[in-house]
Amino acid sequence: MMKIRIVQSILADNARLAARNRELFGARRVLCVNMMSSPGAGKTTILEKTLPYLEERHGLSAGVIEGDIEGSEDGLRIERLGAPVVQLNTRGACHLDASMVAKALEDLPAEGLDLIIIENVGNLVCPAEFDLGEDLRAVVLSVPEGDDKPSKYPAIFRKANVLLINKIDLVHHVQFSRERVRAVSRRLAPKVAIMELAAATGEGVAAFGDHLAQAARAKKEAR
Amino acid sequence: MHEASIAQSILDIVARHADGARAGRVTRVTVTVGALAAVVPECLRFAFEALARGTCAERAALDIRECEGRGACRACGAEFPVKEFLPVCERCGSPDVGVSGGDALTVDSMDIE
Repeated sequence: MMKIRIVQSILADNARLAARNRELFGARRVLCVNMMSSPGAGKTTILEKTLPYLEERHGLSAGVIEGDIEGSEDGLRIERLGAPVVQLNTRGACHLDASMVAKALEDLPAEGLDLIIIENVGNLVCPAEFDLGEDLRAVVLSVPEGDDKPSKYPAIFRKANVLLINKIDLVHHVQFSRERVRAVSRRLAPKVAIMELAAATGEGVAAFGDHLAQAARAKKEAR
Repeated sequence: MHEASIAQSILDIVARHADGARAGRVTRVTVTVGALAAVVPECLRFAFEALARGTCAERAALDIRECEGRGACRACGAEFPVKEFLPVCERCGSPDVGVSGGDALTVDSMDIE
């Protein structure tokens, strides 16, 4: 018997590919956003409202990478907006990893995009572990899911740069304390930017769009 | 079940090192899993055993070592190890605790024959 010392990060392969994606985003001066939430929280609807806002208000173009276990419904919804989109099907895998994103990037236009938004597989657990090379992680929590989600799924909320509390128009119809969500999220991620919106009605979309536009411009000007 | 992806990554690393060392069989793999890494040890073990079949690590024991994060209380300044995402201060009970680390995922060593 012989012992071999290894001491290597288990996710080193993913980290290497994520670093390569990050270099590519840097070279193209494109802001990459990784959007994560449970299924049905409203990620695609938020994109349907935010992409036209970015275009009309800020003159910014976004491409989208749609991650789903099966099907192309979400990809088609984005395509209808006229935005470049690549639909990824993970065939059972519960998250996207950096290699899947690297492949999808080959099918997005190399020029003319200011943002690339990755809509991760709907799952509040697994996507948190996998760096895709993104600049910004936006986690969506919708009101009907309940205000206990940050304390029950802390890993993903710990990594959030932006927390979007969606379907806020339903807040008077269900038990939901926005104060509790804000307090627990801040304990997990002290610097998180928290925004409330109702994508279906358009409420709050401008604030999220402005936040992305500001980050995209900062990336363009970065040396 | 992202534990399956993590188990596969462990086996990829093990296979690379086993090749390099011209190992016949891997009998034990030791990994460190951070308490805040959102990896369930039982799920990792199940996936590892299933995915190891037919590889050089078939029937290898998987030793999982847990590593803790560090908590720093913003109210009283105490520092202490943490295993939870939302700890309270051990000294003063404040929930205002900054947490760092605790999310390590590493392959540390393996035994070969």
